[in-house]
Amino acid sequence: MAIQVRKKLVASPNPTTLPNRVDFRQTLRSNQNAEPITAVYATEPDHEVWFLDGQGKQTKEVTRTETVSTADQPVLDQIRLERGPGRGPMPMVQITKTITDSSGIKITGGVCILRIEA
Amino acid sequence: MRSSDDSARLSGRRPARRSVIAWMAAAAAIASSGAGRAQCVKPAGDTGFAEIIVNAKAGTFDDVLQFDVPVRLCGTAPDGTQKVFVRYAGARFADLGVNDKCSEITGAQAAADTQHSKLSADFPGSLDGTTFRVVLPRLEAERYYVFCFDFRKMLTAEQKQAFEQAARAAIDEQLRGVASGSLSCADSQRLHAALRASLLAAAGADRVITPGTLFDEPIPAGGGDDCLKNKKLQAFDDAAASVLAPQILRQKILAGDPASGALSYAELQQRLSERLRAVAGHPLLHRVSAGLEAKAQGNPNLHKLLRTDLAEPLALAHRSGAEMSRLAMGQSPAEESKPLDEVWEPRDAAAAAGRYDGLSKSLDRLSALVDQTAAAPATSDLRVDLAPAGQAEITELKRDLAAASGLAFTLSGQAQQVGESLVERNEAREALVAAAKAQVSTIEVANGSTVGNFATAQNYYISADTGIVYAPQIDTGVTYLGANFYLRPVNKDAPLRQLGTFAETFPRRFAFTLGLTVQSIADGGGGNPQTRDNLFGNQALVVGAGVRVTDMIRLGTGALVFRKKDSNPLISRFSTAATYYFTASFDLNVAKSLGGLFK
Repeated sequence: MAIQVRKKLVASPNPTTLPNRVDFRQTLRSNQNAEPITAVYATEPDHEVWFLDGQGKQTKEVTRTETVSTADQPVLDQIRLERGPGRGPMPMVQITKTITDSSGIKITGGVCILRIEA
Repeated sequence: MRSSDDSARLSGRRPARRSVIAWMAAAAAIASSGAGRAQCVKPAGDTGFAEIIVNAKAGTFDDVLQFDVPVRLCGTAPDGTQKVFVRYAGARFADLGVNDKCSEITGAQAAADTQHSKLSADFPGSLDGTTFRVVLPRLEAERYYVFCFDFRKMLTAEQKQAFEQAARAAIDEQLRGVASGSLSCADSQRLHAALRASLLAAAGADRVITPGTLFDEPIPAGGGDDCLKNKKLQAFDDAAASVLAPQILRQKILAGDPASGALSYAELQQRLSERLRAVAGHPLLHRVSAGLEAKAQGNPNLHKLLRTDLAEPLALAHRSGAEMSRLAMGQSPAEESKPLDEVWEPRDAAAAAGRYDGLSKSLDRLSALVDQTAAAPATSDLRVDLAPAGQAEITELKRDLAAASGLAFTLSGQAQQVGESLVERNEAREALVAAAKAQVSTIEVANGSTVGNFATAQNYYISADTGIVYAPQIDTGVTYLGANFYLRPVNKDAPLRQLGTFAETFPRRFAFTLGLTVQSIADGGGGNPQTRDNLFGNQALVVGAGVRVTDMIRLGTGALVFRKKDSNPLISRFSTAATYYFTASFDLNVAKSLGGLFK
């Protein structure tokens, strides 16, 4: 029914070089057992850093589904990132996580700034 | 001052080799002008430097500046100085000046001559008490110089506190306006420059950012991916990202994110408010509340339960519209407080999170109570006759309660995140404030030049040599004394090997030569016929050019001019003639060689 962020979104490795697989971790809690949620990772459309989806295609949004319980639950999402067309070079890229709970309410679940080095 | 230097040069003595009497006089003059400068005494021997004593406060040097040799300046720093830096500007024009910060060349002609007018980097000096020494690289010949002595002191405790306060405000102001954490190298460099400018403004006119710290110098714009390797940019980006990530998270939680459809904090509050009003207006809830109150009249245990555990949940049935609004805003129902988007104190956010958490629990407890009253056995004190409520009405109330509880639960989590973001941002900002260190900087300016008057310049352009001149055609070798005329100023104290390759130092090696033979080149006598005679009396003229192959030895060639007898033995007439020659000579200081001649 509802979701709380218990520990902030953290990317690892950070700083990173690209292309690379980046782990996004945070801890969530629901007010009901086994609540299904949707998490969308997004980055701005104009710059050169892109996610890779399951088919290896560059995208600016990646969606993951999770099931969250009433106990604090660490969540890990692994996403590949690489450089593509767009504004750059980018030493800092913002990644925003939006969580949609089972009642359809969307909240900002986290913001992390990924530092990129050559 | 310059006339004594010039006479020293004319007499062929280097400044470091002045007479003992002259040095005693100089030392006495220095001592009489200030106790602190007494330590600046020129070494007696040749140190390899042009040793100069500077009075930075008065802006004067005790000697004309030498070119082509490293310069060691000695002077007295103001009390309390912890570091000293020297920067200088050089130009061909005497109108050379610098601005207050010694960061730009002023003077119309000097500033316009960008090809030759240069501003140096900072050269750190060493300090011994209040006596400082700094070694500067070789100066160029025939230039005017302005030297800036930058004396640095640490801030006092009060100054430090004031600067940190101003730096905090400056950093807040600059970073609060950044809406995205996706920054290109150029964005990042601009942000650094803006922060640096704000910090310098906050520091005040007589302050500089401490060298070696994050904001000491602008980050140069790097092309391409090189900027991703720039260590200083990386350090700044790390620090900036630590502030921006929590700041942007807070912004997105409070304002929502239209791009992703994430609801704003106010939208969530509005939805909660609607749900709370729906709950409070539900007739079933009022019947539960009234039924329990009626039963509690004769039941002290139930009375106590209603006044303690169930007080808050049941109060929701009786809250006023204003109280409901305050609850939905995360405030105490009894009093209004600042909304979270105006709050910058983490404890205020934590308090709001706590109140939402309490509200969510009350709503859950109320939902459970509805179940209890409907399902309790007939003998239970909690059994309330809910008629005419049907299951649909109960389900509707429970749905509203669950929705309201979920919203309060979500808002509690969001308020908690806002509070943590504030803590995190404050810590990251303090790290930036700590990285911005300032020092008090007192800049004193002194003027000097490597442009001598005529006598000095003469010494720079003319030297003498003596050696052997050999003319193959007449098979004669004699000694000679010559003057060498350089096409550029040459400082004989500067070893050629330290000034570059042979080609690079060629202008310092090449000179035209004019001289006279010391011995006669005339022949004849002893029964032999005379075929040649000297040009003047007992001396022939040497005209040519030469190159110093070492600091002292010169090889040369040219024309030996003499008088030649007519080849017809019946005609005893002499005419001017010349033959080529080669010379090997020792280059001497012109003042040493010729000084006595012109006195």
